[in-house]
Amino acid sequence: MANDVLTPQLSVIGKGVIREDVRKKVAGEVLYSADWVMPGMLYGKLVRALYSHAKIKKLSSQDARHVPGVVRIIEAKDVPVNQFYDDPSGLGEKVAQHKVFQDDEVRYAGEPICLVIAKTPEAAEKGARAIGVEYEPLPSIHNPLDALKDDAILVHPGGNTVVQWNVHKGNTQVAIQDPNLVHISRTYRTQFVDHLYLEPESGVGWVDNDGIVTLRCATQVVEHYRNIARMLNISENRVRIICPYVGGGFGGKEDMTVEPYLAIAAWITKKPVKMVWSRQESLQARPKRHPFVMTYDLWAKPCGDVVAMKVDVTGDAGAYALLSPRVLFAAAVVATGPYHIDHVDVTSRAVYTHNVPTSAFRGFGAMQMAFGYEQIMEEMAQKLGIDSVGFRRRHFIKKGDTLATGEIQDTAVWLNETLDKVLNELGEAPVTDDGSKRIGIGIACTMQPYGRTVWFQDHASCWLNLESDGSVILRTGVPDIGGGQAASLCQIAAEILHVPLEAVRAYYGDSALTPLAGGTFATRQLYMSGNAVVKAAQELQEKIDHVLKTAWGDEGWQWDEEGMAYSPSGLRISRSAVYEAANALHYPLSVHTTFHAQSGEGYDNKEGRAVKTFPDFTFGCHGALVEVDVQTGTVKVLRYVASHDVGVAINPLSVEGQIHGGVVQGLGYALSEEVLYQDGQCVTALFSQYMAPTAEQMPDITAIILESHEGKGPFHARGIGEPAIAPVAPAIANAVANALGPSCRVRSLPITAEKIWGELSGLDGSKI
Amino acid sequence: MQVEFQFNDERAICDIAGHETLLAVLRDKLGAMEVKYGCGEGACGSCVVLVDGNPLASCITLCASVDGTDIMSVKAPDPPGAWALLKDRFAAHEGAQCGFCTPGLLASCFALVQRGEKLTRQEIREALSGHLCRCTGYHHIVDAVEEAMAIWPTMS
Repeated sequence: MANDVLTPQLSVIGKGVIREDVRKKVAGEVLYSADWVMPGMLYGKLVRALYSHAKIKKLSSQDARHVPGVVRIIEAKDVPVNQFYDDPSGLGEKVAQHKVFQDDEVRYAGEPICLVIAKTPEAAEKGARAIGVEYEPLPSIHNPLDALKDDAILVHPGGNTVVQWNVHKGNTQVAIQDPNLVHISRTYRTQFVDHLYLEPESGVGWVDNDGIVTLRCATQVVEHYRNIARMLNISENRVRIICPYVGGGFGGKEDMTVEPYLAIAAWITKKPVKMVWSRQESLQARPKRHPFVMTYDLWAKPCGDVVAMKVDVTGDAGAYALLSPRVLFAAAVVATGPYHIDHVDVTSRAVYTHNVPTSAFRGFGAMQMAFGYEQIMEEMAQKLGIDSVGFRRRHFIKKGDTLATGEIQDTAVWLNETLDKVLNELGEAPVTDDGSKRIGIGIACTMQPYGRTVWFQDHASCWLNLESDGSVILRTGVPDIGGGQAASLCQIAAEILHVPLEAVRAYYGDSALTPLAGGTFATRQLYMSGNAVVKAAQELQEKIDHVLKTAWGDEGWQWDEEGMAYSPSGLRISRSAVYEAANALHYPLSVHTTFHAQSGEGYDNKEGRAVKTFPDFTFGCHGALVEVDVQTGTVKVLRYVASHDVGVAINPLSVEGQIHGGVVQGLGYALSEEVLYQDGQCVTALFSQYMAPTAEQMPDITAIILESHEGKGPFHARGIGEPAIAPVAPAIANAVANALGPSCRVRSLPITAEKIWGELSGLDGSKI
Repeated sequence: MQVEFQFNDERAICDIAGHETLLAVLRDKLGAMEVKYGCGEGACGSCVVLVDGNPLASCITLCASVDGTDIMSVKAPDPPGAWALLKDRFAAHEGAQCGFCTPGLLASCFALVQRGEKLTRQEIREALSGHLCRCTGYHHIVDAVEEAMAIWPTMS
């Protein structure tokens, strides 16, 4: 096997080691953001807009001020800079994002208007209810397709299109002229879903001894301290964000949640302030996954060769852009799936509406597309009367192929390998004699990027040093959101430095004290910080080798399991002796370094071409065996198999955990989850109304990890956080369609019993 | 009003208002931060503690109703070692990722294991259906509980 980088014999990498953070978590010893308490702490509660589109005529806080325990009401006029700006596409277009507090035109129900600070959470709550807001309701727009019409109500003055991306390859117009081609056109739709992490948005903010605005909060991005500094109009070196272990993120803590409110409250009151969002405000008003409307047109020769594909995607951005431009870009890049097609036209756009804003969520636009491309391929195979597995195999992209965007796929593509594993494990669909049940089998093959688009000039830093007792300290700004982000980095450092895993301690997630690593999103942290730690550890090891040679001679040093250096001549040198020797040589055993990702030019949106979009992709295949009850339309997942090429599994137990978690979150997305809005008002704002999967509805999952040794991460690993969720919904959709029989297919998510029953009734009402 | 109960083998006497939940009292008065607020509706299971051995969602349990009971969280003293066994198996199987749901989940698992239950994987899944975990996909949790159930009779 090609493990050409470091040691031929790996001792910690590839082992399912027990994570130390997990030991602490299961013991109940971890203090999450809401568990932090400070003397004299106050509590904040947001007042949120009741209308999805309205003018604020008047805000009266008189009554709220008289509520016992209320300390302060903070409004738009109290914020030095009440508006956030961003360049979400990364191509130099600054757009006005949301305000800290809306004081003029409300654009979605739940938009923050002001903040009540009180001595107890109850008083803050009462105070918030006593705030009077006088609105002039305005007509609102909630369907993104309507929002694109010429006479549509404008959500923002510049028009309702946030962004439109184009991908062009070949010449579709000419290619589809051949009258012998078989053409199908289908539209697939996805829904609003919530991250529903178990830890609510929460944190404590205070101004520290040196006047530094300090936030200890649940976030995926400690670099938000810069936005906070801009909001307060103070220098960036006067804001600090500390991120303790996060109780789940999935993209939902990538945009700021509590951060601006904790900061302004601590800044104004000069007291510690805690804020924990209720589940209701989280479900109602925090950004969701984009609902997509995807229309696929596919042309193929009767023999089964795909000729051209056209894809049109509209994503509902809601009231503010947030990360929509990037989400719709990822959608455009993978719109044609892992298939080699000569003629491609893709248009993807994000559209403003008066709905809740949408933004990052595990899979980030690319995963919605899998629900499109993996069904259109299946439907075309059906139309042509050929085997859909073979049809996919004929068109799988290969290493060295040119993708739809014009970029070259320069690492291994193990689609056939993962597909083989899945088919083998899934077996044949069993026959059932129960007339009320139908069995179906379905697969989906997908590609999902890891790392940020190349023009973001992504980088991650870390600082690694040897301590006087021979232990190792790794400092990294990584927010650890539960995927073992810090633990994997310790494994990498331990491997390269030849020390036992226990000898490495990671300090993580502090914007002031740990080198900035970038956020934990885009499946980038193993790739980015993993490579940074490889670089730092290699440099540190070189320094250690240098000290050994200088102090004790060139003895052909090797390392034993305890991390002691030994020589063939019988010398044994401890790491603390190396430390002392280094000190005497004035040669610090400390490395601060930065890994810069492969970078490249901005996307040519006019031509729809790129030299490179994302650094790389993770490929995989999932397969599901389902049972559909034809009387009720309910789906039971009998068996589920998921296989990904992860390059190299740093910790196979954690990789398996990512796959299991992605599958179950994907099964919720496929079958039951939806945040429902009526004219922009959330009607599923209770946790118990949001149908996330519990254990008894879920099957055991067979995760098959393959290692091509060709990823771009440390030790040739690829990212797996997001890729694990992408294939689930289309695999289930294909399995359900297979169970229902020809011409029956639910093309919108979630695939509920009601929709299936509807399909079945349409097919043959007498059987229901 | 005043309530008195045992919490993790220590006597707790608290002055409370009638509307206060057990969750609020455990966290704010007794500093038991291992008991988590996840949803406030009794729907997610993160706040579950054992009241006289029975798993209860503390966020929808009035503190006034637990007077005279014996309450345990994941940090309870553990001479027989059932908590330790569960924690160890959960760590070994990575039955926790972000870990936020875990203390509540372990309380329900403790009740099952201590009762000497030997359940199938599907029965374990049903027994834990009051808990939501968003990270693990449950598979590793079931692995851990299955193993703890198999080992516990040899320890107790």
